[in-house]
Amino acid sequence: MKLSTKSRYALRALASLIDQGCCCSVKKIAKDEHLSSDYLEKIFAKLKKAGVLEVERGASGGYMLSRDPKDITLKEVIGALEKPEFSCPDICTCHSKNLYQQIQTGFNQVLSSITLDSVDNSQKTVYLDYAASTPVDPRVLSTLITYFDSKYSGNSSSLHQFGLNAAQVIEDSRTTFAKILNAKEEEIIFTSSATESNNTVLKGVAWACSQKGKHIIISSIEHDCVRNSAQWLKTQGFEITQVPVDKDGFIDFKFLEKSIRPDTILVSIIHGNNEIGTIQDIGKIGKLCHSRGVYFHTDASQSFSKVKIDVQKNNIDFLTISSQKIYGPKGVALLYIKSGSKITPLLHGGGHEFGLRSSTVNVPLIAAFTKAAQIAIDSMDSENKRLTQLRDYLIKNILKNIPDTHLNGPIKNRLCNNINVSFDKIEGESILLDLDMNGIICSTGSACSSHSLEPSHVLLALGLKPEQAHSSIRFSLGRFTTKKDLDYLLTILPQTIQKMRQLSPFK
Amino acid sequence: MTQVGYSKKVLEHFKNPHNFGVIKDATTVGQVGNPACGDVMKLYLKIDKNKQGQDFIKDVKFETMGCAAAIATSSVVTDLANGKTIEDALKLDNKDVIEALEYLPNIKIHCSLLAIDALNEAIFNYYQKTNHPISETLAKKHDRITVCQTRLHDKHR
Repeated sequence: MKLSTKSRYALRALASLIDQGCCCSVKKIAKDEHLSSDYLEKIFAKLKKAGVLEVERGASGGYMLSRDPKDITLKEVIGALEKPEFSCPDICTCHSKNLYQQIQTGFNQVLSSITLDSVDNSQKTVYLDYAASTPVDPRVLSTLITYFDSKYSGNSSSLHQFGLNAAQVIEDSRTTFAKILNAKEEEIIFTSSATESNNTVLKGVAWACSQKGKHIIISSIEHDCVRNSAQWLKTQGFEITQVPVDKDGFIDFKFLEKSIRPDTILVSIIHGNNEIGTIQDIGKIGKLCHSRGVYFHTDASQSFSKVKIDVQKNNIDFLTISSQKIYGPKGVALLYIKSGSKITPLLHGGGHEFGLRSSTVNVPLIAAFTKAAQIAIDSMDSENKRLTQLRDYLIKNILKNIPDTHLNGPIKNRLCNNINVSFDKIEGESILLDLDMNGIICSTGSACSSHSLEPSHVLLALGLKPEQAHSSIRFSLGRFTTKKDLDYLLTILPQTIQKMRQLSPFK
Repeated sequence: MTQVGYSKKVLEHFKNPHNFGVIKDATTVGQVGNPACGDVMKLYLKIDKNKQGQDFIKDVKFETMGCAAAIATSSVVTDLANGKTIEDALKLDNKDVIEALEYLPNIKIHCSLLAIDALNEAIFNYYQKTNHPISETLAKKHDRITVCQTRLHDKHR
């Protein structure tokens, strides 16, 4: 036996209604669940008649559940829309008559025993690791699929129609990003990852400018790809200065000012920190660098679409953006290179991307990345406002409900989706795993640190003790995070922390 | 084939650790590890004489601050040691711990060593307290553990 379309839509819409946590218009649910509004209105009217739903009048009105979801059974819902029956066609004569009656009774019992609450909570997963990587937005996925079509399958360097189709997509993408960043088209190049973009800047500038000098400045809270590129350049005879940060992760500007020397060729400072969310004043840093004739690079992998970036106004020479942090596919990123900048490419070959990054251009990934960026920028203001509210709600309640807990990173000038907290006397990984077992996905400091046992260099740079750094957890919110997700986390997290503290020898 | 993540056994022990807590009147305690490294294990032993008059582990409990592997190895070592004579308990090594957990990721092998260290330390402390002769192997292990912990401490200071 199969459930009718009506019942399936009803359950889907009710789950959505529960997820909203309050009363909601048919139109909104229909839109969220991609259902026909008129059809859903008819279903809801029947559910209202059956006493499952109530109507709230007024401007903020709409439908709401008449009772708690755990008091509404599937039998009520499905029974309002159809009569699921198990019966033998030859009911009078059939020897299996009793059998069918038993199935019918059993079936009714099962439907009565399942409540809407379990529909809602079955296999709940709350993803709170958006800073590590974001899921691909369905709209981006459809772009991705579109551009896998064979008419875009040519090499963008070829002069036939398939090549030209591909080349046009890339040029359109460049135009989109140029507009977003206030840059010129020829200043945008596509790479395979933020790691590649950052490596290109550090090594490329080092190789191209070593005549001028061999001194590079980074901050003490850079992502590993900048840090380790700098570390490698050290072995090649370059000198690296690390600018320290204060307890909230803001760079010591005076130290930076003093560190710039005649032989300094590059300052690379992360815009929004991936672990603690600190947003640096890149306008101020860019201005300083340009007044001293030094290139300025910033890794905006985390901050793009969360903070407005204008490469001209902010005096940026090199800028990194990643697709997989903004609901685009993995394997594609961007590097803005201000025209006239001296830089040697990492990859030599057919001269793609203005000779700065040879490799056959990946049309579907770039088109999807561009679509993702456009969506993120279009919804930037409202989304940032929403995430900031959720972030502050979570921070407030974690600190309030769990003793001996500390927020890492600033309160102001913090990425709207970042929460990083230390829980005294326990270790982060065990918190992460226990939460994972409860369907909550988060990370300890930076996801990369799962390869190493060393405490996070970012947290140590803030002045935290190694044991405090080991006890930190990062929750990063995103487009699909709801208040209900956070409320679920807030019910599980205190239990997890208590369990781990019970196990700990330190009380 | 490389297995990703933890084994089922590790997750089971992590979820429902065996013998965790404190023995208030413990005969001896062994503590190893360093908070700066993210792992500290404390093992409590209640030692009694068996029918043959040998010292045996009558009860064992643990407290651990650390990752899932640290908690699972602690839990397993209590299972392995429980009921054993001291002599037999000293024969346990980290391979027994790993075997009982099916496997451990390479980066977490040190947790199995830490669990065995905690057991050895508890026994070392017991022998010292009761003026029992200490074998060269056990004395060496104790020295290694002490040196190791000091070095780690210095490294993170």
